[in-house]
Amino acid sequence: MTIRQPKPLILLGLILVFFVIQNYLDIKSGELVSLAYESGWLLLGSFIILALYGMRKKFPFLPIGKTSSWLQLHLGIGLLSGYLFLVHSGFAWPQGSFEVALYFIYLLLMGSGFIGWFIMRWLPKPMRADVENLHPSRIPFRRSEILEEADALVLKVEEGALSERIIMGYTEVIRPFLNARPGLLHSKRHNELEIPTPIVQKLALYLPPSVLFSTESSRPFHKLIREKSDLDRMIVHQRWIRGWLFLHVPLTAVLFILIALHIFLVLGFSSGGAS
Amino acid sequence: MRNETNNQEIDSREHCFSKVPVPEEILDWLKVNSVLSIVLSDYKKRGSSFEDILQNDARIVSYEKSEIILRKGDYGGSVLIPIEGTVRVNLEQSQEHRFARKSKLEKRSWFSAIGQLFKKKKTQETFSRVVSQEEISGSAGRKPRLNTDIDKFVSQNLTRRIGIGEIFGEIAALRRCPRTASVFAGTDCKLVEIRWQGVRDLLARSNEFERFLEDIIGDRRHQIFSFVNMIQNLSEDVQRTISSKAVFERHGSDDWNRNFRKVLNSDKSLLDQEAVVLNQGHHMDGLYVVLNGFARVTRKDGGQESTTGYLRPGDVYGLKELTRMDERGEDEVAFHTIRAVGALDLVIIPKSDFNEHVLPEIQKGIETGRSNEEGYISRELLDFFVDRRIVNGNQTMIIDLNRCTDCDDCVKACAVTHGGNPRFIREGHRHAELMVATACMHCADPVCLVGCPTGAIHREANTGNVIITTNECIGCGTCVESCPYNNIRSVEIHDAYGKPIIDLETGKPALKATKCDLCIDQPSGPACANACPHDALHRVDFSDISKVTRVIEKITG
Repeated sequence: MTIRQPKPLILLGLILVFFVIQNYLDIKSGELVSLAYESGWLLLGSFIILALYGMRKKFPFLPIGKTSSWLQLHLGIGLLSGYLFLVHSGFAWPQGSFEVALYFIYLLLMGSGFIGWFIMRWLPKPMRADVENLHPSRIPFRRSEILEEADALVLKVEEGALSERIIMGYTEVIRPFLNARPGLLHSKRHNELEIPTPIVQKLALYLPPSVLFSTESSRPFHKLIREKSDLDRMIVHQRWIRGWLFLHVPLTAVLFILIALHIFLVLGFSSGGAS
Repeated sequence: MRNETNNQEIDSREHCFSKVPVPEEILDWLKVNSVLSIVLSDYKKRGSSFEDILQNDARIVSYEKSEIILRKGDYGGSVLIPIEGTVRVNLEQSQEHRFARKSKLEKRSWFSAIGQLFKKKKTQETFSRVVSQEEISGSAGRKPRLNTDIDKFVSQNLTRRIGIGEIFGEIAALRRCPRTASVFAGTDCKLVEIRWQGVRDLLARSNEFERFLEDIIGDRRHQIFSFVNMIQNLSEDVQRTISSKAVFERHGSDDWNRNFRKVLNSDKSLLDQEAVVLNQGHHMDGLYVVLNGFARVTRKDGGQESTTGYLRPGDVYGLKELTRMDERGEDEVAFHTIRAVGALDLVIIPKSDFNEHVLPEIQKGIETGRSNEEGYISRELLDFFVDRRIVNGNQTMIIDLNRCTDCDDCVKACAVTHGGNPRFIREGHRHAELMVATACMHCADPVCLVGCPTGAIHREANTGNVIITTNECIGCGTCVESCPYNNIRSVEIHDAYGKPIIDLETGKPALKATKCDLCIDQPSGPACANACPHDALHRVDFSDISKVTRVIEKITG
């Protein structure tokens, strides 16, 4: 986990903005006026600034601050918008299906953002812990190489008392594992053998792995299973590192549509109201 | 020489050496009328003959009146001998601006920069316009000239004529340092250009020629100090005095960049393969000033020798020992061992001259250059940086693997600013949580520059960045082969319609060298560093140890 302190200028700026907004809302509440309009427009402003981060990434050649500084600003404004959202909703649960949808999509968006940030700070280190010198783009090639190497190895298993069980274990457990694509979570590792525990358990039906991996001819299987399992872990980590964006980005678009609708409804049905 | 060469239109500037043979009559003329006659006076007849060396390593180059032949500050790996016409060297520092390279890469406007996003992305390096054969061969962009009346320039400024058959350019060629003066064509002229490999071959076969060249270098060598921070501020008289008494030494191998990978993969310890310049505990005989190349600073504690620092061009070693010696009045010994990493050129200013001329100036507060003698970074990391010659970098791309998410935003940013073709590979040497990407480091000792036949790859005077001027590049691949870090690539170029451009002379697709240009034409500077959302990508200048330390601290926490 590598979390650094925010840049002092950005932190100071955000604290200042918070106090200015708070002061403005205090003045408005002192005038006994509903804060819904003021906080609503401020909230819309914060959403627009948050969305600008995505735009900034498209213009890496413009001298408008490093993208890493923009990300810090994005996170800070994200927190600020959370506060504004609570003020806007009057610190109350939503009512009506539209409000509920707006409320939960906002929560999902904010939650996915911060979880995504946490994932991006947490996972790179474990992702590289097992596979050090392989570019992610080469993983599919290496996986097919592993399968080919394993197929070649099994042909070399000499006939003997254990050969039938080894071949059974290979065709029923090892090969399907080497051929399978990883899911969203990686399996627990066996403490001693450092390969996925489910594989150890399945192999035990044919031959105890401690016996299987003890012979000269079958020891390379252990190395290949371990390497494949390490690659799977890397893929799983990568899926998480990138996957959260598949939630965060579409939700942003949906929220903007809902916000536009919300503004349209509020303004459309508010004639002669708030002032 | 005029009669012999008049009928032959020989100019090999757009060719590499040995492509066009040097005519026999010119070789015969050189044997009698040029400085090369000295070579033949005691030529050791073993291996290649005099003629073979010149046929392999020499070429004839022609210049028109007012053309610039050498620029002060440029790197070059060859010596030149005028055989026809008038060649003059500029001696007026105030007129050097006339010789400066015109920057062809101006910063884009914001509007133009944004326009890049809407350009159709190409899978290859593409010229967006019609390309002439001259441009393919690199001859379109050459011929830098003095934009002034040459006769008036010569009459109003201090210049010196280089005589027919004399030699020039030897300091840069043999010491691998920047050219120390600018030279131009006073009239249309022809010269024989011999690359440094050929000069070294000749030196190895003739002691007379070696002595002759050393004498010439001795006369001009105070000019070398103009690139050393600590000494450039001293008066020219002091510089001359120091240089006359200083000892110039060369350690290590000139071909370090070519056998770098072999050395790296060898079973032998790297320390054992590096030439020792100064041993820890030995008497300090003077101040060691690095002119070119790199040195590893090691210290032996309890029998184990480990790297504690490095020295780069312009750095000095021995200041501590010598000042202590001056204070205590006792002889001091070296605190560290110095080893040449690759090729190392250094000058040793004797203790007595240092005390008499340099120390008083230092005490007046003159800049003493960087002191990299202390071990600021972990010893393993220092070993990693020095072993892999990463300390050569002025803009090394270092990636923090604990923060890099493989999002490739840096590569995408590079692609956007280079017509869809990224100029670096996000892979490279790794040490724990740090990776040095395969991107041009804009080296302090840019070995890629040495040997470029057209000067297309050059160092920008104002920024120090190493840049390739595309229309001067002839795609010979010399820089690609010279770069020990594989940071330069030869790419086939395509026209605006996506068709490969064919070199009519060879019938093969035309090539150009490409590499990271630090987004020199972009309003933001390096787009890769700008684009990284995780602050994982850093550009590190190894000449500034405090900045290196700051980045390393950031990465290692």
